[in-house]
Amino acid sequence: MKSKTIASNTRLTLGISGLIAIGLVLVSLMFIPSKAAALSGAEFNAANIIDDSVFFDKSTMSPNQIQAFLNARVPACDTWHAKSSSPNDPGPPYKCLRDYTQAVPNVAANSYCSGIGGNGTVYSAAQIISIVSDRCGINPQALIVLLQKEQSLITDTWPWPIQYRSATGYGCPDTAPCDAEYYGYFNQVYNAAKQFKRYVQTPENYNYAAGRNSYIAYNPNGGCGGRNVTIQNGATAALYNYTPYQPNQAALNNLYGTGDGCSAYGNRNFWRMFNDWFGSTNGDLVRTPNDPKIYLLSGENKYPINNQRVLSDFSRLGPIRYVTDQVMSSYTTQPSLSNMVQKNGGALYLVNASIKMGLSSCSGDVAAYGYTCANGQYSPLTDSQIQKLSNGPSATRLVKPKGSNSIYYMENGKKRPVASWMDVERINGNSPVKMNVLTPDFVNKYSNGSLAFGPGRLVKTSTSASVYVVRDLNYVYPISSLVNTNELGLSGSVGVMSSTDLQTYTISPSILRNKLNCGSSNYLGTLGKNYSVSDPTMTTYGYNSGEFLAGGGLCSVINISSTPLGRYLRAGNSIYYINNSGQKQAFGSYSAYSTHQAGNGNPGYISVSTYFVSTIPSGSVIN
Amino acid sequence: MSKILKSRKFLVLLALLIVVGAVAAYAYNSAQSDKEKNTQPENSYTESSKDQEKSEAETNKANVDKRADLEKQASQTSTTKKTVSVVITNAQADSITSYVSGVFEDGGTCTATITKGSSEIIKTSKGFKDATHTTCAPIFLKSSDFPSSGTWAVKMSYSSSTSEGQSQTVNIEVR
Repeated sequence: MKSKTIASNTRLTLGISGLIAIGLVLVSLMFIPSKAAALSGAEFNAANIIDDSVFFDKSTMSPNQIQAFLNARVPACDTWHAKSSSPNDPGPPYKCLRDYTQAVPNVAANSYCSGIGGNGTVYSAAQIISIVSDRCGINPQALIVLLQKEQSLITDTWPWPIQYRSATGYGCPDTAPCDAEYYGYFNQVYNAAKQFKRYVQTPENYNYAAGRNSYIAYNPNGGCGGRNVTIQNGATAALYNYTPYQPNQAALNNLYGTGDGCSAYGNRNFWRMFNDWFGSTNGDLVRTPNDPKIYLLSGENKYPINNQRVLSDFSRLGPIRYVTDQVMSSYTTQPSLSNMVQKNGGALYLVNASIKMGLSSCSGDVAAYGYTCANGQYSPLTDSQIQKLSNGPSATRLVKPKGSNSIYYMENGKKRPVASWMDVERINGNSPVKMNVLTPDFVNKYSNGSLAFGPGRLVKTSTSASVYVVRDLNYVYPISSLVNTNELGLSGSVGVMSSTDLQTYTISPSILRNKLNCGSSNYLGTLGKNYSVSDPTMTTYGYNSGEFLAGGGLCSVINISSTPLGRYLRAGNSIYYINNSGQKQAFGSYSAYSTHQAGNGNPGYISVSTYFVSTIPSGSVIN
Repeated sequence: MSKILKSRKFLVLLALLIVVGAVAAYAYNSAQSDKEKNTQPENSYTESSKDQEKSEAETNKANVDKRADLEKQASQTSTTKKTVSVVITNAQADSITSYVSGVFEDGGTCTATITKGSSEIIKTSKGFKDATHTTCAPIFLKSSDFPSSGTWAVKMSYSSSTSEGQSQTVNIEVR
């Protein structure tokens, strides 16, 4: 009994302990942050808040991308939010920035921004950001962040009109009213962008400039002090001229919150928001003072850059900046940076001259450029890095080095010189020709493959008289004479290649005649035209399908007649009928032909060569 | 026995409370995460905390109110000038740059008073509107402006029809 009690008590204690343990585990789960903080205040560099190459890059977002971004920040506008007690809140309906529109006036060009021919047309807030960004040469992302840091307009789900009125804080001094001259959303965005340009174009008139060592206060309250900073670039100077405060340590220690009574947040928030929304404000190409090796930083990884060519292909992700050995070692070293990059676990791109070209197939264009889809072959980049690379066309197999007359066909990691423009057109297939122009350095990293000819080209080697017809880029048919190629309509000059090049082609064991198979159709070529041959006609002529060689690439270059091969043929002045025994029967007169074919539904004749009719056995004359 | 039972009951109750609390907190946390997930934009931009943004938006609204109050006060006629602060950002023997915070206007006068012992040099420039404050046009100095080398004390002051104020003193070395 006693033992039972003890046992029962033990079970109970164990059960209670278990429950407590489970509870504690669950409680502890609450304190594991679901997402590690992306950014640390220690990374803030007061001397370089943002690189010029980032701040003045107006090409980062299209108007549609800006609109999509605004939509994403406010998936649902709280149009009918309850009116607050504030006298500045007019009450619903509220209009979010994603839906905001405004008439844009004409603004004459000046030293800082090109002209805006708004002419009173109503534009969306996103379009206005895009227009101002384009005319003044400011990154639209910087303007988006400015609107957020000044008035929270990007994320506010029920903004008040007063926030649009002073959207970028332009003309709004600390502790004093905003200047009515600069009221209005367009005015605010435009004047801010123009002012940023003015700062960098006339730095001598302003407090902060690149290379100058200046005192930057922590707060409008002079008693809070400040610190001297040698500002590294114009964009950072522009931000300080606009908002002349730097974050103090308390503001940096609590990057996503408030610091102390002496903190100011404008430039800290600009930096933080830009990083969170659009990626690094600084170039991602780094080196240490002691080691000239350059790396691309991406997420937690670093990719060594092997040579100047790769560096220049990714220059848009620069400029190169120095980091300490400690910072460098905090990134995981990956295989060398590849010209093939991957976006967010998905699409693959080929990168040349900071332009990204889509790659569609592992066995197709990826293999053509000498890659596979295996890990390590491509470098995964962050979305913002992918976005910084300009959008190019899809990768093409035909490429041309910039400034060169040569054109190459990319195949199995080699570049095959294409023999002539005619070959380019034939390799390309249907017009227009799609061919990317790449940097010579990039193209020349590939070794040459064999000379490439288009389908239908007659080719020979310099050491032999044998002539072949190119069916596909790596396949040729031998021919016994030019009669059959003339019949198929494959003519033109004979291209010459080396015998080594010819060895890279497969030479068909079958000699090409005037019969080709293209898909489900068989064609007979005569006088340069190709006529489809139906199964009954095959029987009539006594042909078998084995005589029709695979047309491959030839199918796209031969001239196919809309008329099928029939029983009536005309060669010179003679007209023939092909009878059920496969014999040709000449007509004694034209009227005999007319009468005969009228009795067979007036199919008419097709014109053929005398060579072709000579291959058909003769029967009796029809009179 | 009853003590044991009480203590047992207490332990069971405590355990249940912890479990229920933890489950509720975990569920809430998950729900919050789900909510956050559901509001993730479909585009590829890096996310920061939505709650943080929301709170910033509300803080901004409070600031909007504060500023509007300032505008209201400013519209009421006042005979006294507003006190503003002047900040020297760079003082050298050849130039002084500075700005005035708390005012956005053209036409005020920025005055540099440079002293050493009984010697005093006074230079002025105009203030002009600059985004969120008033910038003083740089004041340029020549070596001939200084009767002697050594440490000189610079103080900037600002005066306009609406505002006045001065900076802290900054020393410059004249060779």
